[in-house]
Amino acid sequence: MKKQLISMLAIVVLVLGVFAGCSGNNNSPSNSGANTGNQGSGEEVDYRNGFPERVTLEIPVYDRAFEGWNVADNYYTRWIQQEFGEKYNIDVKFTPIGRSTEVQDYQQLLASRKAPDIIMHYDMPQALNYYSSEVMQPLDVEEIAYYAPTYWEKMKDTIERYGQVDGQQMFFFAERPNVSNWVSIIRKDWVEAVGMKVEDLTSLEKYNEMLEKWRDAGLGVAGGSLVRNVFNYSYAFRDWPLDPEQHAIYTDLSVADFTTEATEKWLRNLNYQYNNKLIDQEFYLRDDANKVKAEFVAGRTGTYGEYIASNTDIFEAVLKNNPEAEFAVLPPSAGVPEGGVPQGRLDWPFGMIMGINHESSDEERIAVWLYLEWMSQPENLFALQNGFDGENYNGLDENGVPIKVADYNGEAKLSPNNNKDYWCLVVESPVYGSEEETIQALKSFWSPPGYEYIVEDMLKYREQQMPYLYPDPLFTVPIESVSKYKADLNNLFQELYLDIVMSSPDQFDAKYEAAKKKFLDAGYQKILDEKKAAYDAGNIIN
Amino acid sequence: MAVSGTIRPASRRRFDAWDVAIYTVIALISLVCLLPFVHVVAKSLSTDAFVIANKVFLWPKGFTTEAYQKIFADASILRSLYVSVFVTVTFTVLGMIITTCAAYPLSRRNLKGGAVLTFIFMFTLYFGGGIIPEYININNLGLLDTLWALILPGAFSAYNLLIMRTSLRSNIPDSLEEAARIDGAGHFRILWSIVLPLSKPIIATLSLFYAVGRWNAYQDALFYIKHATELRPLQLKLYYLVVQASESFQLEVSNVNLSNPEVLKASVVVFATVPILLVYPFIQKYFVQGVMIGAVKE
Repeated sequence: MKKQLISMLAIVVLVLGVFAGCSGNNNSPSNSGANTGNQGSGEEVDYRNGFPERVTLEIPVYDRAFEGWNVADNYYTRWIQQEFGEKYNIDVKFTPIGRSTEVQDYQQLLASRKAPDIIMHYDMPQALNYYSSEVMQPLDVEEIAYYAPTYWEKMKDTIERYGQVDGQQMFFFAERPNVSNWVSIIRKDWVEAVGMKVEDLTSLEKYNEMLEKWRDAGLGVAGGSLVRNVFNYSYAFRDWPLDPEQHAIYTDLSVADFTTEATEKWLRNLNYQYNNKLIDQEFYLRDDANKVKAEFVAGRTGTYGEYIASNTDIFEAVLKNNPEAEFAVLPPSAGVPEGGVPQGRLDWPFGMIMGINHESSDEERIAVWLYLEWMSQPENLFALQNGFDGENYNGLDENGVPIKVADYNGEAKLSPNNNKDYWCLVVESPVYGSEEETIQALKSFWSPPGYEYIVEDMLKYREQQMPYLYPDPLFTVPIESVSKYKADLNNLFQELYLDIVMSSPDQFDAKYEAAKKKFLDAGYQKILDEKKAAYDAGNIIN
Repeated sequence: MAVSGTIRPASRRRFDAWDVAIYTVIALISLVCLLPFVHVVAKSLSTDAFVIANKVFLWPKGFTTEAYQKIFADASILRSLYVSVFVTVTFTVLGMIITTCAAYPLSRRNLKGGAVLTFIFMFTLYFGGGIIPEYININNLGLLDTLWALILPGAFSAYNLLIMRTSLRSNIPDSLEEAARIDGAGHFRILWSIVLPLSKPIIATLSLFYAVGRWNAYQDALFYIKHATELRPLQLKLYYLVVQASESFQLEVSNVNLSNPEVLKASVVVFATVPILLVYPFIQKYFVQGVMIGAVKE
């Protein structure tokens, strides 16, 4: 009896404790809205020469966990503080954002009200998600123009054109030069071993013909990987010219256009390649870049794609395992069915998409503009991108490109990606004069020694492909069904497409029909409807 | 088969089929634990090109210690090691103090309300607030980006408390305590001079539970250590090195290759595992004692 009473008492105490905990917590997080409104004090104070009182500016910086590099405290963060911070009476603090956990990191920081003053993302749908969750504040373009004239002059068209959501100015951007370093590589020695030339690969049919010869000669197969998360597979199979409405409704990096004709052609080809043992028979297990790479390096597959850079280890690693290997760039036409054109995805003319944290004060927001202005000055940007003369490089060559000290290891050493995570707020890739001069300069960053021809060919093919490249549709309203269903659809896509690809050809039609229905029912129809409505209402930038 | 403690061993039998089966199973199970570790060690000592091609299994190919030299030259990794050691030691000491202070009183039968207290502790075994309330709590306590966020929340474990309470209850007879009391010892004296010296095995065992758990955990650090890069424990550093580098699709132009070499990842895994492995041999004998205790009635 007594025991029972005691445990009852204990439960009551516990329950009361739980309630007490709830009410105690209620007050603090919810009054965050209080300081977001911009109560203009009537008169504008001019901060162009700095702040009378110390302002703390928190800048996000991607943390890629480079070995031996502290993103929040290094030579360049101290240099920024000294050159910029002291001049304007600003404490510049850097907030590390994990590169592959960035959304999660931002959400946690926002929840604890410790997020940096800039909220950034490379990808528009996610930037719109931040907007929908009301963590950004509307911007005054005149304020940007006033405090950051150089930056504004360069970016105003982009900011005004792409930065408005629901009629409000929300985003500002970094510049993105029109360059790309994605390259598909093929084993040239294999192509020639079966009596063909790389230039012969003018269509998908020719490519498959070559793969059959590879198979018969026992050389190997084409590389393959699991398609998930990022859906840009269908470009090569689309009709040309493109129907703008079709493009607006179906093109989406985060959701597969599973019900289109292009997808059907893509699936049929993959089904053919799989059943005829032309591609990696375990492609569904290659779910990250390293696994795809392993197959190529080991000499089991003959094609592989990556973002090439001068320090890539791919060629050396293949040669170490297969000393006879030779390489060439796989022409884009090799993925296109007879009669088609090599369409592809083009990036928007902006790089980083940024907004201002809804909790940032007027001073902090202005400090952001001052920071962008400071970084837009060529001499500051140049120093951040290249380091210092006599340390990181010795003078400039005829194109104005620094002549690097190859093994420089002093305190002013740049981060392994040339400090990009600091200067990506104003530009996505270094610019040296005109577009052509920039390309010339970038060539030296991209070319591994001895493989300059790969980069030359990559650039040549990109130029040929350029007329057929186009960017994703950009809606000016958030498409909410996308964020709601994309995770489910992503999982469903993997299940359905693998089932179809790995079935026998005579089952293809039945399976694909059933799968389309399932996919539409799982939310895709809702996405299509919402996008169609937004398109018809004209809420799209063309 | 197994040799039992007090009964005289039967005369030596022949090695029969059952023994073969048992040894085979034991060997297989140990290999399942051992081989992945050997695999990682082999990778960490190989040339990167062979590791990328998945050609290294149990023996290094193109032997080199370059990756380890890199680790020892990297101040931030050594700093993380130091953070991990500090956190683990503080956490374990604090955890043992708290656990002992709770377990000893609860192990005495004459403590009034012991059942209620035990129930309250037990309650936390089954129900927790969940990640988000915990996060908000830590934030409101001002512990974010401090090492205390890694030390305080986990320093008391109800599970370990129950083990210790049961152990103290069955191993320290009430009569021993009464004897000490007659000699004039107070509660703390009894705890310090009588109970603790007699409880070394359980203290060692629980310390190991605390220490290993703390050493290997990174999830809380991932949540709580955001701004302060210098406070990242080793496991979190490892997590970033391994996970951050792999990206499936980049909407960004990159001028250099971004991922850390596979060999480096493997060697950091080894580097992060070895220190805690080194603790085991010192505690091994207490472990055996801990198992033996209670096996035989007095």
